Amino acid sequence: MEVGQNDDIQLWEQFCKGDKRAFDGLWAYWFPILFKYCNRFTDDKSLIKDVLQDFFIELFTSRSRRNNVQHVKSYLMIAVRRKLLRVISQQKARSTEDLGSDESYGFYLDLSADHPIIEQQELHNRKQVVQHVINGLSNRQREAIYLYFFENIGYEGIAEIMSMKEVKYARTLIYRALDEMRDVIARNKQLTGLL
Amino acid sequence: MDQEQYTVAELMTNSSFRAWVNQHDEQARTHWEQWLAAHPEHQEDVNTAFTLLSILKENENGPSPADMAEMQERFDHALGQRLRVLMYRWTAAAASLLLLISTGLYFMNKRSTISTGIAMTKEVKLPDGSKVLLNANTTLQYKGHDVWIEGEAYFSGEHHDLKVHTDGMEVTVLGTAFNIYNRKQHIEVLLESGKVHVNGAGWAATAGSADMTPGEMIRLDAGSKKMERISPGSFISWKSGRLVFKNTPLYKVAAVLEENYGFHVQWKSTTLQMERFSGSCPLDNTDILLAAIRSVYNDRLSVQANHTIVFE
Repeated sequence: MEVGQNDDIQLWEQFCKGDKRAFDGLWAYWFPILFKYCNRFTDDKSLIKDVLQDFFIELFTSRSRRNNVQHVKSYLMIAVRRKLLRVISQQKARSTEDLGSDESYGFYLDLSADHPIIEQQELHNRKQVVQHVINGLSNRQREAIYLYFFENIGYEGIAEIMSMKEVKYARTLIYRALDEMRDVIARNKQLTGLL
Repeated sequence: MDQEQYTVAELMTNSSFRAWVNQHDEQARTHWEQWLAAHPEHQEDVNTAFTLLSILKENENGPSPADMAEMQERFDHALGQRLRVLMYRWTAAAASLLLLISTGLYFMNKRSTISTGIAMTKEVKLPDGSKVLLNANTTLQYKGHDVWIEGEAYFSGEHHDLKVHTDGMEVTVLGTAFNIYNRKQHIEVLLESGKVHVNGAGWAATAGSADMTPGEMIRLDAGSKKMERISPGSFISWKSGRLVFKNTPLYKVAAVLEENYGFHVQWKSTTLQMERFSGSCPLDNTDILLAAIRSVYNDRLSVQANHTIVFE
């Protein structure tokens, strides 16, 4: 489910033709989305702003070469992710901190606290247990969940963005996470039922 | 066609089910209520899927309006490089026109004009005994208590009832040392000591006014026509006889080379524009500076004929 995809493509084509107003429209639309995404990898907002500034300027100066982009959203997310992770790993290399894990980056996901439905005590309670499950997932699982449920990107897009060899890996990653969430909700219900 | 059985994960990744939960889609709601009526054994799973989808909502962590405004300025600034080349040509034509007008004024109003060329500074003593140091490529005119500046100038000493005019701002001096920068894209005033009052004028007549205290810097942007107080952190200390850059983005270094030294800067790619550079050189020897930049950026800079600098 890609929302407003036709609008994306239209703006993109105008942008590729070198329309400066299209550039303004493009960054104003995508900056908040990409900023939020980047913010899941790092808390360093000034680093994110620097990375995104470079990114958009490079995009603008080489726009004519990017005429054949089909899915603007996944295209932008792939490129921004690659750039951000490169900068983060350079920083890490400098601070010589080796995490010694198979995961080269962190991905953080906080569930909304201000959703009206969560004000109900029972749901608030469930939110906490789901957050606990999410915290226990791997970074890649959290990222896949984020892209699928928060950014409405399909399996194909997720596989592309997260450089997976096959699309089905995206589905597997997400299903495993959802099964864990389901189990914890079921246990929580039993628990609240007992009380 | 719909299947009979769904797991919780399948429900949660079903686009129609998500449309019901997230967008309160009526058609989807009817569909799932009918399906549930036919498969009551799934009530529990539907509840769980519904709850989880309701919980999986984002914690707002987007950019603030201030972040957006900052980015707008950064993009305008960085992409202004290209626009500036065009503007430069345009202002060259406009400048000759201005020159005619100001020579006309000179004879009518007896304004005195003093200019500095490329790569030179000049100290001017005003009739009241106070001093003005002109940076490169700057024109100062004065008549009585009025001074007009185009370029960059540093005022020091006791000034009495002095009024400094630029095309977008007036500075009323109340005894002071301050720096004024008036070039193409913005006007900046840095107050070192004493007190000045600034107000919008000319093209920025609506910009309002402000009193400044020592250490403050005010910037009037040609785009927004608004005055704002900014950090004087990266102020270029040209008046000490050296050009000093501290962690300055290369596009700003390039702007100084263009404005003060008449270089023409070309960017073959923009990747270097945001690279930060620290270094200094004597005001009259930019070769040292260019050599330093070249050594830092691995020969990605070349100086060509006609004062042209190319960044690869």
